[in-house]
Amino acid sequence: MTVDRLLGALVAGFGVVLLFVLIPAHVQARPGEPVDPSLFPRIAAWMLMLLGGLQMVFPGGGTTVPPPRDIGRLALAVAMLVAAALVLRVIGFIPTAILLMGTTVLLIHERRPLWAVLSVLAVPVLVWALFELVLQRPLP
Amino acid sequence: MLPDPSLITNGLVEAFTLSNLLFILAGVAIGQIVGATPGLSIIMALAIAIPLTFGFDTLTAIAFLISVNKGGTIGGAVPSILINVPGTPESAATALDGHPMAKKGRPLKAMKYALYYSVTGDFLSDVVLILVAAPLAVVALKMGPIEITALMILAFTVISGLVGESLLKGLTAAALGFLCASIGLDPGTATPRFTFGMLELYDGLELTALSIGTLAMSEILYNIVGARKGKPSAAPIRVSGGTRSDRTVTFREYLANRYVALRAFVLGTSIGAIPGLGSTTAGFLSYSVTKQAARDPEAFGTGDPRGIAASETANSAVVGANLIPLLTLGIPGNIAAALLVSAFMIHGVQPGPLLFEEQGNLIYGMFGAMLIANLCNLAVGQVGMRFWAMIVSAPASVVFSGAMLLCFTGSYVIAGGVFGIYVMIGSAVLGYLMRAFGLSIVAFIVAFILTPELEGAIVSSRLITGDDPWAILSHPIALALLALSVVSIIYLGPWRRTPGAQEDPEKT
Repeated sequence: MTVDRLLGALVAGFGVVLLFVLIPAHVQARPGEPVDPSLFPRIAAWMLMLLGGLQMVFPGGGTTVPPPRDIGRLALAVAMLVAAALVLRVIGFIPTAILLMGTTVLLIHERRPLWAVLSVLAVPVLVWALFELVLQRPLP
Repeated sequence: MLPDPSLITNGLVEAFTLSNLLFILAGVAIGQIVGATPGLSIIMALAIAIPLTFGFDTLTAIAFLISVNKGGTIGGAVPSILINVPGTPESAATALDGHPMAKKGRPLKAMKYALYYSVTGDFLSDVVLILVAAPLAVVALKMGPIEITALMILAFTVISGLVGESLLKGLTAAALGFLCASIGLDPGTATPRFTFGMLELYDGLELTALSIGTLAMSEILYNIVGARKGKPSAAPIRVSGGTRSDRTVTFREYLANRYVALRAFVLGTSIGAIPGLGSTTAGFLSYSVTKQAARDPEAFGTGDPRGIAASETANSAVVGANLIPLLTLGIPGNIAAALLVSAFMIHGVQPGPLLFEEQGNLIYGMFGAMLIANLCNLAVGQVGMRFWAMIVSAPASVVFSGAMLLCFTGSYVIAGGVFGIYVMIGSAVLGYLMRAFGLSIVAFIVAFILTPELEGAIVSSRLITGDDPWAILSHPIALALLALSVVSIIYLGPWRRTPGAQEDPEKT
């Protein structure tokens, strides 16, 4: 099975779950309303089922799944961002930004001290100054 | 009816304030710098810049963002010419003759050719926008909900078919956009949809945070994930040195390619006015047409100024024309226009044909700002080109970490809390996966933006027709638009594939 066929199956499957599970559970019309609020989500669900099915019949080819190493690095980068969002209000903007930049520099494999220090220390201060001082937007 | 002439002059005068001029100057400078930095796209810059405009008045915000976009088309030519790596996708065709000219010892001359023809294409395209937008908006205002529904169906089939890998994947991305846009309170009945009991979701997903995630952060993640140890950066060609004629472009040299530039402008403007097609298509198409029409096609690719004129005039002519569908029909034709919608909405303005009636001052002020931005682009480029050349080899660590922190902070500011950051992160992962599997981000964002209007139009159409499908027979315009949708599905259908489309970030 090609990646495009698998993608089509996943899309169609999501459409089925959406139509029969998610919409009935999370979009409830109140009695007597002239317009059904689930109309548009149902249109989207039917589109996903139909298009996913067609994708299985007409696979494009050439699409590849990202290698596990890339998926791992993506998960690491996302975990780093989520962690930064979680601690933002606790430790404040500049410490959070320094930690975020530090891990980003490690992920990018920057080993030159000048550029690494610039990214980890100067970038957070400059971004803080831009929002706090220039744009007058308060940061935690 | 066309707007009162005094409205036009008042609007144009409003653009000429000191603060607007300063923000336009800052915008084109930022756009040129970002465009000159390989790895950073103008779309990324626009998405990041939107939260910065939160406290600006509407005209200043729009003028600033348009200036960033205009500056970016020029800045993108710098790395194309100096290191043969396009700073922005639309400058890829410029490298074909720009880089050979630079290798011959005339890098500054190549950059100035790019600057002059880019400003020419951009300026002429703006003039077309100013002349045609208001009359087309008058026509658009005559359409009812049935015609609007049909028009949007046509827009989705055309955009989904032209961007990304295939019509099927484009429409799948659009369906995901519909679904994400239906999160929150239903506009008709205020019934919660997919809110999962979270109060933050009652207003729906924040458009700017979503745009920053799918367009900017997903690209940053893509670059960070793909970073490898010891990957060398390209060494740029030095811009200093050479004779005076190697560093300047005379008026005579500029005029020598006037017919090439004129044809490129017509091509670029026509392509820009069609939703879904963008600057990259215009640049390559114009280059190819110019080469085929030349008596000496073998000269192209060796540093011929006609190649630069063809590419730069056409890709810049798209910038103004891209706003025609947005201002006349309310349909963003490309990502830059979609991001402008986001900026308009932050300031409580709904783009579309009614703008000319309800916000005449703003629209004509915006037109004035676009013309000023062209002059600023020329002035800033004239002085700054040699300095932007130094940015070409900026290290990825500073570029991507800085961009990432701007996305993170911008999402916090624009959503007024940490929830905006979570929306941005979720959208970034979605954007990364869509990019990896060839689903068009353009179709997704356009669908997300247009869903409220489409949903309203469908509900109104059902009420008008009493759910009688045959009632459409008494709406010939809607019928014609639906027939065009069917034609576009047949023409762009699942059997048609566009190999390599996923390599063009503007199209995905």
